Amino acid sequence: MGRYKPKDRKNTENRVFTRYAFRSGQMHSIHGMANFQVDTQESQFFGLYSNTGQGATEGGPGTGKAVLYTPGQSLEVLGTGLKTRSAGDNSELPAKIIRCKNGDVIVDCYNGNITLRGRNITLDANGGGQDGQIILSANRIINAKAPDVRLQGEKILVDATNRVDIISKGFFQLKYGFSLAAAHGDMDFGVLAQTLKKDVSFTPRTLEEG
Amino acid sequence: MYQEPTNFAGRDGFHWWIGQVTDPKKGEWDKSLEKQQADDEESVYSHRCRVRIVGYHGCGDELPDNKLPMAHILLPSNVSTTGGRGESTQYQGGEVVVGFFLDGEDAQQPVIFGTLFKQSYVKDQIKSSEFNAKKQTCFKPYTPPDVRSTAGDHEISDNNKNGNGEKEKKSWNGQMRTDDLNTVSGENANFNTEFKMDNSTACEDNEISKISNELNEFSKKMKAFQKLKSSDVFVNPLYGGVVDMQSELKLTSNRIQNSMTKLVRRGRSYVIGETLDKLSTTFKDKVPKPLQGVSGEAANALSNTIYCNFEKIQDQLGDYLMKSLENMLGQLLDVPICGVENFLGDMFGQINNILDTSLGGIFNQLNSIQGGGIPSPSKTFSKSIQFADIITGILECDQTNCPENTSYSSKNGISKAIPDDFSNLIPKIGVSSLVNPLLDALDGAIPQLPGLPSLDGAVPAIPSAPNCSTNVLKCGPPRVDFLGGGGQGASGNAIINALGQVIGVAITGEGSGFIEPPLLSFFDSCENGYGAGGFVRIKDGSVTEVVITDGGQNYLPNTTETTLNEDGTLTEKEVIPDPNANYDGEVSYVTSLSDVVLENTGFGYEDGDTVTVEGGAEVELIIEDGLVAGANVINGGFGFTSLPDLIINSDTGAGARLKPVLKFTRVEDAAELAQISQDAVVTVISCIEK
Repeated sequence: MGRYKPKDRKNTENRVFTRYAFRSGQMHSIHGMANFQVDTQESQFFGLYSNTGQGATEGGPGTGKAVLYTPGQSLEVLGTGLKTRSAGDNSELPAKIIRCKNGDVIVDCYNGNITLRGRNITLDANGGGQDGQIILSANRIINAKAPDVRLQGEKILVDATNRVDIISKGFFQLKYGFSLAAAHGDMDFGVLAQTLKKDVSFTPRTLEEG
Repeated sequence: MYQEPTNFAGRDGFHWWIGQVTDPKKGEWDKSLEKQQADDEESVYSHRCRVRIVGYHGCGDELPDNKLPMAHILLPSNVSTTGGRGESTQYQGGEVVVGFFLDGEDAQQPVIFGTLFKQSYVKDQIKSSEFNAKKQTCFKPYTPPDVRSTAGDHEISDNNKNGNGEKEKKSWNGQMRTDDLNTVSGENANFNTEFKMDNSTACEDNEISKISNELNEFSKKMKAFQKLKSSDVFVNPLYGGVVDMQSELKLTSNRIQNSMTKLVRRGRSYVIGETLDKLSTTFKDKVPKPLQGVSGEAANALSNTIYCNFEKIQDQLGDYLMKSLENMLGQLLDVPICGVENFLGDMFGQINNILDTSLGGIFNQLNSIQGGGIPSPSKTFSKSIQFADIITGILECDQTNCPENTSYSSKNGISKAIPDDFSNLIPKIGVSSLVNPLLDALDGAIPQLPGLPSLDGAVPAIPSAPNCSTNVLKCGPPRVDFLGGGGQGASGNAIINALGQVIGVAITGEGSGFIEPPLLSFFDSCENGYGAGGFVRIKDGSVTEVVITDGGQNYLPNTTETTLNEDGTLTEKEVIPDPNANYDGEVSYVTSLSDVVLENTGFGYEDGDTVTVEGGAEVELIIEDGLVAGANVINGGFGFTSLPDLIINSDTGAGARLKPVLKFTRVEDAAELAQISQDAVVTVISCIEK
């Protein structure tokens, strides 16, 4: 046996056919020992690999990877037999589910675009505690366009280093309880804000302090 | 008593034979394996081929392959041949097969019963010229040229050392083997599925890490690719693929441009913000109220000019980056941080030139209005690079929850990312009015404003390459990262054995404040090793031990240094650690078995079942209701140089799995040192950093 003997001390397996091969027990892959791997004459492959322990936790079931590589497109067509719902019928009818019990989902197209297209699209950040964030970050433009655009929140911040334009060809309503407004050169604005912050901030007592 | 032969299978006894399958084309049976019909629509039998049988058929020209009898190919009993079922056969010619005759001594109806495996050391003995010259082959091992020329990537490849034993030359050996040989598709898959990416966070930029990763990936590819002598074609000799170099350059430059775009636009935002901030105060104080509207319009036009000129620089960055990368071809072995800083410094220097050339006049006029205090655009821009986007106006209790900046490698998992630190970058951003290839690229792109200097006289130059020892690559054992978990200060040394496997981690700093076990990661800066992983155990907020679930492979036990010579060759040498240099030096440990971790309880075990530990330690099983509930280390032994196999001895149970945890004690701290031979000591090099 060479230095790449299977880590589970079992025999390796190979079945090489004319255009594809099945393998098991090989240690050559950077993804770990192959439990099952099929590769083709054009180097496409699908592999199920043994636990490497990367990202593992004690008592876990292992961290075996599944890896698919193909130089062209990977295409799935699903749900042909599911009910065709009418417009406005938003009853849930999954055609594909990716459930990550732990870990993240990353879709990384570093030289391509990502399109999510559907009748309705929901982004739901439902984490508790300090989670529950949706972050949109773009190197150039974030363009939200619809006949009806709504921003709702407890606090809304619009912060621009260059300019803010709000244009309405019809009505413009601005309603508020208090107005804190100043030109950028008016330094009194800052003094007022600091005073307010100082007067209304408090530090909650800990349980030990009663 | 003599009995007349009946020529019925089995009635005259079995007539066994051994023979060789002929070449399909020479034997004219190439349509008979899978097709029911020949091209001329004449019916032919499938699952048949011709065989030259030892002792029955000679090798003379009077018996060419196409005159041999057709042989049936016997299928196994788990294959049906009715209802459309069946299984194809895959004889290609040259196979040595065993069979019998259906017609007894007449020997005209052979049946192939099975195939004898062609051993890996059996080389082909018929050259293509000999093969093509005759209409028959004669019991010699061979692979038909047609089969060789259409060999797929999934078949076995071989690495042959050349005469000097220096370089590996890949060849196709046509053998089916089960040991160390890899396939072309395997190497291709490794090459294509190995990538690194940085996480995204709204809180902190990690552009230096991203650019560093891109340049490292670029460098790795450039090291692998090879230009053919006879043409401009580049190939990846790892798997023989032809490489589109322009596409590779474009891909890398696109990805670097993504980060550059972010940094440049960040700079633009800062420059405009700073400028308008100063002007707004001045206008408020100095401009009479009726004229403030006009002043505002002027300021707006000014900010638009600055904005658009930055944008035009942005558009041209891609071409400039392509030239920079082309300039690096053949020069990069490693891309240390200083190399990235030089690269960025050069880039920002060029941008500064453009800014001062195209916007300097405007800023001078602004300074006249302002009465001084507005620095040149290049100066403000350089300053801006240090400041990430910060969302203002939010409360302390309302901060965005930010993840730690990390990089993910498909090979090695997660690791700490290089933090964005621009302090070393700022001094490297020079302004040179003579060397500015971007000006050349931008000539005509930026509108000439009245009173500003022309860009026509700009001197084109070649973008400079990183110049800080990028031709030296230092590799050592992997770094151990403890990520997350709420604590800090934990550190450790990876212990690598002679086989290049991680056998454990010697904890050098237990850290504190961990509320849950941090993630464990091994970061090999040279990406030699891969596959190691495990988990961390904590106690009272500190890291106590690391359990290795997979030792991985290919990690370096020692530190090596590879130098790229001027003639393009590489020189590799082992580096002796110098405690006064970048290394903390060597540390020697005594290894012993400290714990056994239960992975799977299995079933059917009985009291009295035992464990054998390779290497001499003693472990006692805990059995509950037939399940292995755990194990206690009775005697930890010493001298382990690999993770020992734990074999459970049971007549009834199966499936339980136990993982060993090794403990590493510094030699000077080991009380039993007097009894320990040198073989029991593992020496590692600690704190390896490039």
